[in-house]
Amino acid sequence: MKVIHVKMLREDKVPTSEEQLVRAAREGDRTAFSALVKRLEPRVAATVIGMLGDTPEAEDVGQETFIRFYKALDSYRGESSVSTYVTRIAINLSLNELKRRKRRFSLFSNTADDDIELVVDEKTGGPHFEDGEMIQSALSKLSPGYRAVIVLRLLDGLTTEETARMLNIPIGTVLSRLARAQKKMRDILKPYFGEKS
Amino acid sequence: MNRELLDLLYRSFDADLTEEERQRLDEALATSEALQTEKERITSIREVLSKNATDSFKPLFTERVMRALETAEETDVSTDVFFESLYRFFRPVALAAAAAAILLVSMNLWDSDDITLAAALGMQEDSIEVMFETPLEAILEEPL
Repeated sequence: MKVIHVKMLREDKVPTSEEQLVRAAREGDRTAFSALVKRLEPRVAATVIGMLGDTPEAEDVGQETFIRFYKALDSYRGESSVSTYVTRIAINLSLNELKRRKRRFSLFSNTADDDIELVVDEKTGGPHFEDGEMIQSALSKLSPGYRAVIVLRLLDGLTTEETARMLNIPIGTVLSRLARAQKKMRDILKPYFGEKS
Repeated sequence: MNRELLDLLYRSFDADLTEEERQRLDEALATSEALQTEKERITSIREVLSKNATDSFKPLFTERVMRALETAEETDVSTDVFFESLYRFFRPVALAAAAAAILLVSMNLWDSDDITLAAALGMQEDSIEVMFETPLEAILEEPL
């Protein structure tokens, strides 16, 4: 039978860096793992909510990200930073969730996944929306591949190289997706800019 | 608007342009109002995106994660217990079955002249000659 060891660190040995927290968590220190969750929540939230919107599924995917991370603690070798490692789990789980969503709604919608050509309705283009909501709404209309590069590059602040590594695609693809996604977002937000200017 | 310049503008946000490309873009920006507007719009979209990134889930997220982790571990433990019980229960049965199988194979090989798989499994076929040469009495006298 698997026994769960819970070891508490002494006050004078509180780990500070993410790597130290990982080492402590690997030894069964729940407090250290809890500290890691607190520390990594902003990055995971930005990734998952950016990809899925502020929905209940986003919270589930966020939790699942940390559970997967905990189970993979032993296999984490430190080749990439802890936050990069966790972001990779978060983006993969988010993409899986979007695939599930697509399957779920494919019977009711005939929108092709790669088609980011979308018509702006009066509601999303209206001036009563706050900037953030408008942009989030435009973001949600991009297909998963395009959304992922925008989220990693602009919301998480990764470099194009890091984004490429994270998604396992060439840098050229990241650049072209970024350009197309931004152009599409600008097209979606045309009425909004028109109202403002 | 020139398509090439537009592509250059979009690329300039995320990639390092060559000296020549940078110069061409700067010149175009200095003369084209449409390109300037495009740059402002993209800049503002990028700013709003990074400024409005949601950086937290609902309150007490960490506590919910830790609870979910405990539940996941309890499930793992109960799964382990289930498979361990299954293993414990079937182990003696499996040992007895293996012993019986070895005994059966040994008996089959003892009765047979060949050492083949068919003989070991007791599936050796008699040839037609053997079937006809065997006296009826011998067959009838064989214990059932």
